[in-house]
Amino acid sequence: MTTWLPLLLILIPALGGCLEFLTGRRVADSDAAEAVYGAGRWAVISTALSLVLALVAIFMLGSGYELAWPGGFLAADGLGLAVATMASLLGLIGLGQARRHLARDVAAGRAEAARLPMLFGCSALFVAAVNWAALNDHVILLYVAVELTTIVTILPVAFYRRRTSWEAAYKYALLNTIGLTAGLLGLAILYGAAAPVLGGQAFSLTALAAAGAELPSRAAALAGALILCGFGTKAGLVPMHAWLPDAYQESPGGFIALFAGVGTKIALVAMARALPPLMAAAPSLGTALMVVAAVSMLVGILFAFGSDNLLRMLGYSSVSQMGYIALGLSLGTAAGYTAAGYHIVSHGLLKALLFLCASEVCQAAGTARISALGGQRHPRWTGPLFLLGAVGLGGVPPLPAFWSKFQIFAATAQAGHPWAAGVAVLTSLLTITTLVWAGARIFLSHAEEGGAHGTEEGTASAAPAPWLLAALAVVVFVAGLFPGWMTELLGRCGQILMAMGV
Amino acid sequence: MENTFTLLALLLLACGVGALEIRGLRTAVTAYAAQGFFLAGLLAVAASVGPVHHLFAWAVTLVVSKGLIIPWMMYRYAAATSATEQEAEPRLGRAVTACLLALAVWYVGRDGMPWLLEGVQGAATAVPGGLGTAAAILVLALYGIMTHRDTFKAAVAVGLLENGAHLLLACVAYTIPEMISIAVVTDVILAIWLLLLVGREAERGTGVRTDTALDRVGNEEVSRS
Repeated sequence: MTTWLPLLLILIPALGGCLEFLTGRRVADSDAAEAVYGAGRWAVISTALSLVLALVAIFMLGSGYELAWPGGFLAADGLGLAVATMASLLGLIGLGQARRHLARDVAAGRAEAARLPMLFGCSALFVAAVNWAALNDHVILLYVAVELTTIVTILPVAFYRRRTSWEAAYKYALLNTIGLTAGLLGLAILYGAAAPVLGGQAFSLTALAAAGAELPSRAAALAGALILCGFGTKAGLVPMHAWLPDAYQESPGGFIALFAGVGTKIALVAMARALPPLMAAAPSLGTALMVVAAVSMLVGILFAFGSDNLLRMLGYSSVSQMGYIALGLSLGTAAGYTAAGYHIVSHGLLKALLFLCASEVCQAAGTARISALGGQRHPRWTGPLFLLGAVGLGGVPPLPAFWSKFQIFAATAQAGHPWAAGVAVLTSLLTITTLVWAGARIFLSHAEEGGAHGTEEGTASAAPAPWLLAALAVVVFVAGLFPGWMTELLGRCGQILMAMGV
Repeated sequence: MENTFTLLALLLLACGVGALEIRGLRTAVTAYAAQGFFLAGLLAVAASVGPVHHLFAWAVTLVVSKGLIIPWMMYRYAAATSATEQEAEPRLGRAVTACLLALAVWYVGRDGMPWLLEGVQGAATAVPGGLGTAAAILVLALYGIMTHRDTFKAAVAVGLLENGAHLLLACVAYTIPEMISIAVVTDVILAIWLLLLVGREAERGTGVRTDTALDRVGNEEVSRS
């Protein structure tokens, strides 16, 4: 069981994705209504099973079991399992929501029923690829898994086949393919540099971390720079972020929760695996990453502040939040890694909640412009839940981003970088201002007499209770109410990484 | 034998320049396919004269993927693009510039890359001169991506980038099992196929085939919404 569990976490959602393609194509050929009804079942079932397995794996890891596939291809640690659990949870909630959301799009003629199996199949494959990347222990396969997370999300970004969808998908595919090729080169050099030290064990990320300061410094600096550029592009760090707001704006409702929740984080998980030994050999890498992180935090939130498109605003906010995670990684300390891991989880949950609310609101109103959304009737519960996500992401206690950001501030100050801690605190204030102000303009402004009341379908969509959103809100609260448990789970991983890296 | 490696390196660069700077799409793809074969040839020669016989398997993988599968996909998509079969006017398209750039990087990289990667397994020995050639192909590909606006040509440039990456991988990570190398190549094939597909569908959906025009379309729609 301990050897098979990591493999099952990859195989089950992958099987669900394949079944979705195989059975969905037949149903899609028959009838639009039947296609909508049948779409996504295998994807939802497989991600639900994946969630159960991930929770079992966390329990077993906590009980002292070692979860690894023989041969060094897979190894589950706290960070990997936290990301796999989040991917499965957001897959389950996001795809459940996508079934409702897309049924309305198909009914309104905005989407083709025949494309639903592609979307749900790719989504389940995305969960499998994220799980693989999170639990992967092979230095070159890390690239293969992260690239796979890009490959299976290109067509979902172009799902609506609008002019802007193709532009977004093209930009996403081109920039990420180029970026990840740089990441591959960095990983290959890391492997080549460690091979004389570790011999046959140089392919294992766990063993690589132990090579640390023994690596040649020039090669380590080059490998680190390539990994920073490569995985930084996938993570949406400034200045390689151009694809992110476009891709988020075009992604279908429901799917966006999964995509925005874990899509960029997996690149940062890859950086967390590969950077410790390189930073031990070339300490200037940490400074470079810290500067990129600070610029990303500020530029991202300033662009978000200036955006009148709700979905793009959330996209730019993600760029800013990736900066926090990168800041934690740049410190090169166990506390920094633990805080970064915690923020990966808290941002993933909160941003998924915000995007789910935003896509419901935008679909109901027929626009994403914040200035046009104010004064309209919005689907029930989306207002309070959006504002919960907004204050949560801003860092208000006891929500999870408060703890993760606090840990990042503290770790940064402790490591002797008060300017970076200052930038992080300032960004946090700007984040809460931007998101709460946008939420207030959308949800708290009163409808004018005889003014807009949303589209007919928007009014209809207000009827069913969005219980999936409520379920996600509960998970957000739980993640914030038990910070000690989360820190312990991720902290062990951070200490191991650092102990081996140094 | 050194002359053979130099000749193959120069042929690789010539094919790269041709793939980028030849305006006719099918001819450009032919140059790209030729680069795949020459790359496989370089690895096969290195495997036969050097200590790394394992590179024979890499050469076979390269022939199948970079010499046959990817060029075949590109031919099919080239046939499906708009009637002219010529790439859209590039921002900067001078074969001489590309040639000089590639040669300069190759010349500097022959000594510079082994110095940069000192202490890395096989950096200077696995494929003689391979690191400099890989660096030149990578820089050439990035130059192509930045200077060419045609979405199809961007996919060809990404293909060149992957060729350079594969050569560098063969130089410093030749000991990884062949199955891992095949997994990497499979990802590359899928990525290039999706780039070609999205480029073609973007052309069908918007009527434009350049990244600048696509950007303009996107910005117009965003400001409207």
